[in-house]
Amino acid sequence: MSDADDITILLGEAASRSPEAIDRLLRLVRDELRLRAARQIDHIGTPDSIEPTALVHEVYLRLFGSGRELDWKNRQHFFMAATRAMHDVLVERARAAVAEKRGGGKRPLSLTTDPVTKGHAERFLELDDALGLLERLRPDRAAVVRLRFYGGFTIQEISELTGMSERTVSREWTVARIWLKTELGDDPTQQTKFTDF
Amino acid sequence: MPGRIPEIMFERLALLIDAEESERDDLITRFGLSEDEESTLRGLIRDAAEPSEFDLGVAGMFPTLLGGSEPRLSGFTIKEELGRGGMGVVYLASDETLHRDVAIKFIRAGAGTEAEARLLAEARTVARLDHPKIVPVHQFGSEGDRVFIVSAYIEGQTLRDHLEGVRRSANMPLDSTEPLPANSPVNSRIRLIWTLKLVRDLCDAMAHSHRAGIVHRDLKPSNILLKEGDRPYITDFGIAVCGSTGDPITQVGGTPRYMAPEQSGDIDAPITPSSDVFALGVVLYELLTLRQPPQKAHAESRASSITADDWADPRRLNPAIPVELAQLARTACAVTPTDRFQDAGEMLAALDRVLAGPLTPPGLSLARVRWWIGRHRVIAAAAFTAIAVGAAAALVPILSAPSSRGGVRLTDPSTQILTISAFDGPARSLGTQIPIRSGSRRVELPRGRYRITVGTNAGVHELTRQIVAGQTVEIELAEFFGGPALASQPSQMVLIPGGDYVVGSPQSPLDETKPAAVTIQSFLIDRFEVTNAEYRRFVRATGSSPPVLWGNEYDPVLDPLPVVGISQADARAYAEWVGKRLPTDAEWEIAAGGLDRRAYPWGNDPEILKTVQASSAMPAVAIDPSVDPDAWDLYLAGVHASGDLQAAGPDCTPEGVYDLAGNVAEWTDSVLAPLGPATSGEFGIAKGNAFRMMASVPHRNQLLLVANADDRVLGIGFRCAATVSTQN
Repeated sequence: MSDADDITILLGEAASRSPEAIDRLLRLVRDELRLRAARQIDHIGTPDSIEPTALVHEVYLRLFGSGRELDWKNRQHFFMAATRAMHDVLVERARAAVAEKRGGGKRPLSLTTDPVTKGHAERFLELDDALGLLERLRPDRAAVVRLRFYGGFTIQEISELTGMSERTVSREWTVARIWLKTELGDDPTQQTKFTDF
Repeated sequence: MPGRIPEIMFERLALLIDAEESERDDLITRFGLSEDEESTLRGLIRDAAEPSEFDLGVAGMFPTLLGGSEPRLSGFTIKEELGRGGMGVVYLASDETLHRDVAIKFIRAGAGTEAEARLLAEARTVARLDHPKIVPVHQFGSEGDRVFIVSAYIEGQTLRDHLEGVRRSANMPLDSTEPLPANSPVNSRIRLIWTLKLVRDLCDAMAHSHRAGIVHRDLKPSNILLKEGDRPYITDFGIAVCGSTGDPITQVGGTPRYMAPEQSGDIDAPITPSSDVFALGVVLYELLTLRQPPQKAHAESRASSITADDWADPRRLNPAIPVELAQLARTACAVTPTDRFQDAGEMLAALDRVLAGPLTPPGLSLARVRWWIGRHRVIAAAAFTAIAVGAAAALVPILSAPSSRGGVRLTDPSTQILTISAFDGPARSLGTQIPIRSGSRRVELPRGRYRITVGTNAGVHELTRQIVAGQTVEIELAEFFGGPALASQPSQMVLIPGGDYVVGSPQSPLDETKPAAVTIQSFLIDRFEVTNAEYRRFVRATGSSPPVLWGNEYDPVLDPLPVVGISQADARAYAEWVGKRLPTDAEWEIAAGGLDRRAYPWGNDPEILKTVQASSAMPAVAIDPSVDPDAWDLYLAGVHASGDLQAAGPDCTPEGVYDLAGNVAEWTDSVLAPLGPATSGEFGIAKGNAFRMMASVPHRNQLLLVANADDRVLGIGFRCAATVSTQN
């Protein structure tokens, strides 16, 4: 993936705040993020496709917003940060949706106008809590989940990014999946229904 | 609820995933686990092999969080997502024209013409079916680049979710191999009734499908919806067609456990209606044991000494199950298709035969099951809606009472006890009168139910009280109406002369309602059923809780109509408040049969009332009015004003008692013994017919419905009676 290689080079230059490098990096990252979001969406195939622009923009703002340190050491580091940013934006959205439902807090500035389905937000936050616990217990396992779940990276890509073997990544993902399911109580009444058809 | 799974288990799981499949058993042995731990670990391995929703990624699990929009469809407002799978997404939507909720299943954009053809095939399949327990399809259509099915929306949970809940409350995980204890709530008669009614409904629906030449091929608890936790609806027809084409994504979240061996490829045989019978058998097995038959046991059974149908014997996991039911499940789950019932109709007939015959062990009498399911098909629905709650409550042991005796005490000094009659157990009429001292104000009694007659300066009151061991019931008459209520409306009551009568039906399988000679005192009974207006005065004066049907704002249109949605206890309280009481089962029956012992209030011809009521188009299916969301409409359409002689038509005894056969069902003062550990307290007996509840007209001696005395059942109202006092 030549763009990705470019990113690595540009990251180095961006760290020195070369204006052209930053500009090119921004465009590349934006495309990369959009591609990534689109890939996930394509995977599930909702009838109305998700328009990821707003989300990508939020993630982007978080990565490059004013006052942010552009000090990613390499491509891996950058993707970790991007995944983390994606995660943070979603947590913020989910909290806002829950707060709004409870009639409390104001909705923070958001570029999306579609209401967040209530069950989604609550269950997302539960999942996030569980993931926080996993992070303390098994940081390596949690990292795989973050890249796979929030970043939409394939097993192969995660293997490249983390240096773990594909077999290890695959195993860690399987174990983490079950761990999360157990941790979430697997209460069918609480769960986003996943009917088998 | 089982405790948290220790982290070490997940590390063991990781080791097992890395190991070759052939090494796993050996590895597990070396872990040196307890039986429980091993079963937990094996459960985790099974889960690991299943696809997971986490594979969909954050965008798949939480599309709206990523800014995904719900689909739009002209004519419908999409409300929320109900579920999703490999093939598409199901949404709850509101039909903007017809103002009703519907379920819309979309297939994913670009899923291909093959997928579209399958969806169309499914719609056409279901369109050929017309059965109250099969979710009907309203419409098939396409808009833009997607196709969709619009079908009825059934609010409730799936049978799978229900079973999960029961497993949790019974503390019996799916992978446990422990037998269920005989005193488990699952073995209560009330639960057994629920199970059999459910399975009977499923067989009935599938028999309809098989008659239409349609094999479901994917019958399983997640495809069975329980409306209000009770009425089953079969859904997802034609999906298995997708599965058989080998499309792997249709297996997402699925489980092969309900699949017949010819479907899973374990045996070489064509898929026929008996493949659905296998699935019905597994569902029955799971309802009876809370577990599923051993996976792949049919394949193993050929290699081992276990006989083909032995593996599917639910008595291995629940020895308390009647042998006949266990045999039914075994036959349905037979490995060889020709050993099974050939279709659901055959299974239904076998189930009905089981219900009609003696059961083993005989101690577990299913007389009531047969009575309700076989004859009336009207179940005390309220008793089942909270089955999980009831099950949990039943786990609390009943403490032995400090004393087997209790008593009554009067608080008003001007009151004295005149008579006390035992009215215990499965009482249809009063028992022996207990001798008491004249002028008594305090009497000690063994636990039981009594009719207590007390006298005041103002008159005589008849009260029915349950004496629990070690408790004294205090009677305060201040809460009562106080006046000689009987005298105030003499024309509204009819005198039924006392004497010797035979009540009960020879067809009754219940000992309690077999023909029996009773001697009764003369009594008065209301001509008409108690109205909402009358009941409202009582609610206002006493602060009792109003019937559910009234809603938040009482509508005066209800005034002249008979009150419903009250419990037997409510009815009793009202009767006492107006200085009356409820009629006993025997008294009600004598009143309904007229003094010339006719079968129906108007005579002996059951057809007469039907001809009068034909215009109201009663459906020939039993409904559970206590849980039906359309209850209000059904009620308004089905009842007439109490006292409307024209509407009552022939439903009038020669003595002038109206609406005993029709209008609403009526509570009597009588009770049956508790049915099982899942039920608290006793069961009240109601008689007569409720609006649209039964297609046939009840014979005077038929028992309509038995429900917990505290359950507010929507089809049941009441009328009052009073003993003709010999004191005056």
